[in-house]
Amino acid sequence: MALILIFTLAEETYGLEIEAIQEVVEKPALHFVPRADGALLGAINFHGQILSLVDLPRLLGFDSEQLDHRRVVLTAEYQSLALAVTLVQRIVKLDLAALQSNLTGESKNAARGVVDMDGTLVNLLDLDEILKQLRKLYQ
Amino acid sequence: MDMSQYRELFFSETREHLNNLNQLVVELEQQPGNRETIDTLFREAHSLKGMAATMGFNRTAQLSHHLEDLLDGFRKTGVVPAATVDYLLAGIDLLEGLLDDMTAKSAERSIDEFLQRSPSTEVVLVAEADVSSPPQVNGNDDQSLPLVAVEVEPSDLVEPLANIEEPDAFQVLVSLAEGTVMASARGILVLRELEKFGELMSSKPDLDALRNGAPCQQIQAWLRTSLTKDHIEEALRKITDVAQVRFIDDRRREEVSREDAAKTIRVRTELLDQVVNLVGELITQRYLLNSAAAGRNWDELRQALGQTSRLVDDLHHHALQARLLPLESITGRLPRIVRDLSRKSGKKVTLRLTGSDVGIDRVVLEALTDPLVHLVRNAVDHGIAEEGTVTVSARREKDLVLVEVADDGNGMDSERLRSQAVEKGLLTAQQAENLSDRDALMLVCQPGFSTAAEITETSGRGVGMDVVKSAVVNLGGRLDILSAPGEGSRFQLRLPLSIAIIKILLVRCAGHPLAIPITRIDRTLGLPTAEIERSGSERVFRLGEEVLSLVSLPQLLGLPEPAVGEITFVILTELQGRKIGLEVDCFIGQREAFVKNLGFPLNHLPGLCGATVEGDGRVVFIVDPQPLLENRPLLSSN
Repeated sequence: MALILIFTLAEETYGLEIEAIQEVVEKPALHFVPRADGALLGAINFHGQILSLVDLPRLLGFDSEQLDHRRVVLTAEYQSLALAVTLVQRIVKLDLAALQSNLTGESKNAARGVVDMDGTLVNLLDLDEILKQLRKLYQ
Repeated sequence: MDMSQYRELFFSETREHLNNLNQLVVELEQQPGNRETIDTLFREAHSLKGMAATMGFNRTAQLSHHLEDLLDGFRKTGVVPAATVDYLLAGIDLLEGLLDDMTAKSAERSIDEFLQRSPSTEVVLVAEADVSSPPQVNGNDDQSLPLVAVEVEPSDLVEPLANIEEPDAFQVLVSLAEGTVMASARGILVLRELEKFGELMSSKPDLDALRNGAPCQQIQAWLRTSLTKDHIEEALRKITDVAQVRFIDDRRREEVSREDAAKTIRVRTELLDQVVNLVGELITQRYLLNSAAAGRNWDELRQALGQTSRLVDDLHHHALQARLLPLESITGRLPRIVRDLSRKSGKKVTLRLTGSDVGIDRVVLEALTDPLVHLVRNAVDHGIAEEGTVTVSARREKDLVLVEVADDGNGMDSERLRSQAVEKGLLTAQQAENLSDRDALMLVCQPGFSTAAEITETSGRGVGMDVVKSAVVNLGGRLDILSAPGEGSRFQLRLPLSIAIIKILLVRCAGHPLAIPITRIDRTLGLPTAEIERSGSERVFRLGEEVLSLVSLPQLLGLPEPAVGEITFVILTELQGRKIGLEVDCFIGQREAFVKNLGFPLNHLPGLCGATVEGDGRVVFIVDPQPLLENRPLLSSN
């Protein structure tokens, strides 16, 4: 069983293993970044580190008018990115052995696959895909 | 006595001594009769010997002693025979190898072969060493020694015992079977057996411990031998109760870097005292501030605050001083490198060093070491044809240091570089033609531009001009190349004194505060807006005789244009040798900023070179206008 943080991007339910998360920060001040555009919302000062805040719904092409004021800060392995999501929900225990990987082969909406949570399908976020997309945008 | 705390210091001092030795020997080669140089060399070798002996690094001590003796002989005759210079240099190289061994905590390599090559046998009197360590057990290390050393006391077993050509050093792990009776006695047998194979450098537990009945389940031994591992294993397995024999190769030596040099730094006591004094004064000041605040005495408070800010400035200045090292600490190797290169290429090259005492942040210096060697190598290989001078100079320029590598050789032909770039498909003919001469010279910094010959020459170090340039840029500096056919070449590296703290100008840009490094600013202007003219699609203004372009910083950053006021605030900066004006909303002020590095993808945004956190916690980004200007779209819509 793995501990998974459940959150939403627009109407979709997503999950992320807590091993990839450094901290969920409550309402950090957002700082203006010159030349930031699109999915890059700005920067946050996270314990003295200046981190990029990424609008995850926007990066993945979702239409999300509202964003949760809590930010998900990833571990250094994932560049300590700070992610803004539609709504941070809760941490649950899920059996990832039951993960159904993407049969289509293409990583749709940056999900590594789906897993069932009491009848709700949870998309497991593919962080490598997120980084890949960001690298494409910011060479 | 536990010497481990002195290890770092010993290594850094040894490195300094070796640097000096290298430099002095090269000087001596040019002036073989210079008494003073011989004396200094002698003293360097003498200090090195003393330190190494105290630390228990016996081979280093022995070799330094050997060189010291040799030099003492030259002191008496007053001349250094030309033939011995190579021998001295080889000795210094060997000392460097020994230093690598010591830093890697592996056993010191053998010096026997070197000692046997000694050019003058009468000065090799190692046996009479006044080395303040226990007497050396040299075995037949040295031909001039009587063979008493064969009757070694067992306690000296950790010392070198045998003399083998090009032996291989490795660690042997011998495990005894569980429940071995009299394990320590078996251990002694194992050690005795190991001694037969070659040189048993050390072991854990050692013979003494085993004699005192130390528990012994496994023996770890450092062995230097030319025998094969199979042979050793087979022999060891014949001993009763030996359960397992394993070997660990000593390959770490190759990976020894100069890392530990970076971890320690020597600071003058005087400087340290000043810092401590300043901190003391600040503590007093804090009480004054407290009492002034408690008594709501505003005059006193203001005075105390002024005093505090002066103290903080002082402290900052002194703390930065501690980070500075003279350029000398990395140019020390250059005379030797140039000497070896000119000998190899048959060219007659003189090296001139000026400004070696200019202080540079040690982080900057470290990153500069390899690029500097590469530039000097290039100057000898490609710049100078037959005979010439390579000059490495340094001087302060505002809060930058200019380091220049210049040669009086062939110079570079921008026309030829253009056609080469086209041949290699890096540029189209049109692009090449539009390139200014200055930019054409910078083509050599393009990855993949170097010719094949250059790649083989420098492949050992893995440094090319593109690496030189990116090292300089990563440090927040700039590389310029000045050259013309027949006029030699000058590679100019402008580097920040310190990379952690820089001076910035805080400006407002489309309503947002932004910081611009002072090093990018020539001057600031308050320009009456009415004086701005149009020239085609560009805005221009006059400054003295010149007509300069005016570019809007908000526009460069994709921000809305601010409202036009009576005065336009302009920053003068330089772009490819030309002055250019940058318009901002207003200036906020100048200050020193502690630069924070940016995380991905912020660090990939053009023009962003860091951020600083204001007193109120606000994050202000530091913008380098240079790349923004270089990549600006043509301002046709302006």
